[in-house]
Amino acid sequence: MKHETTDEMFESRIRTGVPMVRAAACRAWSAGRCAGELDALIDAGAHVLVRAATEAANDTEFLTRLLGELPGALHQAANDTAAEEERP
Amino acid sequence: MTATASDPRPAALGQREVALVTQVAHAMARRLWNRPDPSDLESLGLMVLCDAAKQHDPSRTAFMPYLVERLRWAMVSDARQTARRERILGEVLRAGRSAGAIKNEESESTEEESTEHADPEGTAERALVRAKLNAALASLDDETRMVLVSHYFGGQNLEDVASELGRSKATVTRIHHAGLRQLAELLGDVRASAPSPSLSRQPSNQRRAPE
Repeated sequence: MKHETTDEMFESRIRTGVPMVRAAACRAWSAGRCAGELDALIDAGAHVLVRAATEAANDTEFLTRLLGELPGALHQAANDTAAEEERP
Repeated sequence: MTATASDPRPAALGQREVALVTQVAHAMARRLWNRPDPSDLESLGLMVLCDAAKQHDPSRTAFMPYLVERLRWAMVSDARQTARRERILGEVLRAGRSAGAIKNEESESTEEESTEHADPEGTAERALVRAKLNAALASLDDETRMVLVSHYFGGQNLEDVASELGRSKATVTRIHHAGLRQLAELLGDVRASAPSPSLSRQPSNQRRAPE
């Protein structure tokens, strides 16, 4: 089904999602014993956030997508940034 | 793509139209200022193609020129919208970071980038401090580390951290104080010799992000 996400909806979703992304990134970084760059995790989370904010048909779907996709994206980013740090 | 009895035109869409979408997508990807991914434009173009097939009025114009105009218009609009949204995201992230401890780290980084050439020793020293801070955090127990990272890097207040960890605020406050003491011991040599790290730069009430 086609839907239009207005800029206002997008902005509202981003404002809701940024603290959630930051908190989740911090949890993931801490769980990985602070290996690698926290910013890399925040960027990965922001990527998921923007996609969900843009594509979700309504706010429920937005939150479901964000909460569903965030852990996997952060886990992947944590592994990548930790591997990057270990590289000589 | 299936056609209904009332709207047979989508069934007429064939390789020629799809190829045109690909061609326009690649051309626009080269021309647009935000350098979008051609495959993203192609996906957008296919949606436009379906709409165009339904909305085209053959009595007014030929389909192919109409399609090209629709594709270009949609792709430029999409680029403008993306630019607006990137700006919104940037503003929100900046606003959030300026209120939280992450900003302290970032503003240092920005400062570093601009003065990197002027003060390479300072830059190296700050990187060393940051590495030591990360190592010190890593040596803390999981719960203490989670409290400190969530509070100082995540900008969460202790009440939120407590509810996330399923602990009382008093317990988390105690963990927080103990964690700071441990960190101070671990970083003692660093604090004595290096530029002050962001954690010890400001009073804690200024490091928190607003609710």
